[in-house]
Amino acid sequence: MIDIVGTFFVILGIPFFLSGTIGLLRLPDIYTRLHALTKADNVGLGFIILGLAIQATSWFEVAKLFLIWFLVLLASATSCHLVADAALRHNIKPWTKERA
Amino acid sequence: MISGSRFYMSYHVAALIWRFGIFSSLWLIFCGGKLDSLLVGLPVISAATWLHLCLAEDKAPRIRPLMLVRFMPFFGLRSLASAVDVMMRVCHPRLLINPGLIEYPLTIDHESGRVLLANCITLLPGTISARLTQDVIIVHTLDKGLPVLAIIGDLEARISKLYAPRSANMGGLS
Repeated sequence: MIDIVGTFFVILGIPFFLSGTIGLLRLPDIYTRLHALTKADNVGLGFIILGLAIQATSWFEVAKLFLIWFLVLLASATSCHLVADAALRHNIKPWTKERA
Repeated sequence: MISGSRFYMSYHVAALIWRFGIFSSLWLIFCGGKLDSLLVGLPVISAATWLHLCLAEDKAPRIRPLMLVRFMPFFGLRSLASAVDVMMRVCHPRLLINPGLIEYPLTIDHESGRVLLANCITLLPGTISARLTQDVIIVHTLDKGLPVLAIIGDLEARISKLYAPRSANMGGLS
């Protein structure tokens, strides 16, 4: 039972990763692509971590998994901000509907 | 400034215990809870605590743990919503986006809160933070039709509540 629930959450994470990649390919500029990558992948990883935590054998394993998720959240939000900031500094104009 | 030096002392003892507790928990998580690992762990934990106390900003406002616990479900649900939002937009045949930059004037007056706000904006539906200065945050949105300013205003209010009021914390120092 626990294995089924765990596997369900791990599989639930996959469409989020997939949509992150679809976004990376389809979206028009650096800023919009950052949206797809950070948000979708964070939640995708969240579900995979949740699925693995359900199947974990000890509480320390659970804590370690969630610590990994927290660190990835922190790192991806920060690097997303830094990439967007660097793009603005280099005067990369955001894609807009009007100019397309 | 009620009995300044005593307040200062108790603040530092509390800071020490908090940090020592957090670093010990981290060590035990890394080692899978094996207590004999503390033979190496205790010196490392002590060193980390000392280093963190040296590097920590004295002016950093204190976070209220209970408020943080209340903030977490809100944050979790919002980031889930943001991922679903991105998924719908990028998978739609016509790519439902109307992106643009928006400037938000900040009212939070400390660095820690500003950075937390910027990071949360990035994980919120439709927005990422692109530049952070003393009093303005520049946000990139996937959809200019969203009430971005109102959404960030709400988030900023929630984040301000995470911090203890100024007077209640480092009053004894300056």
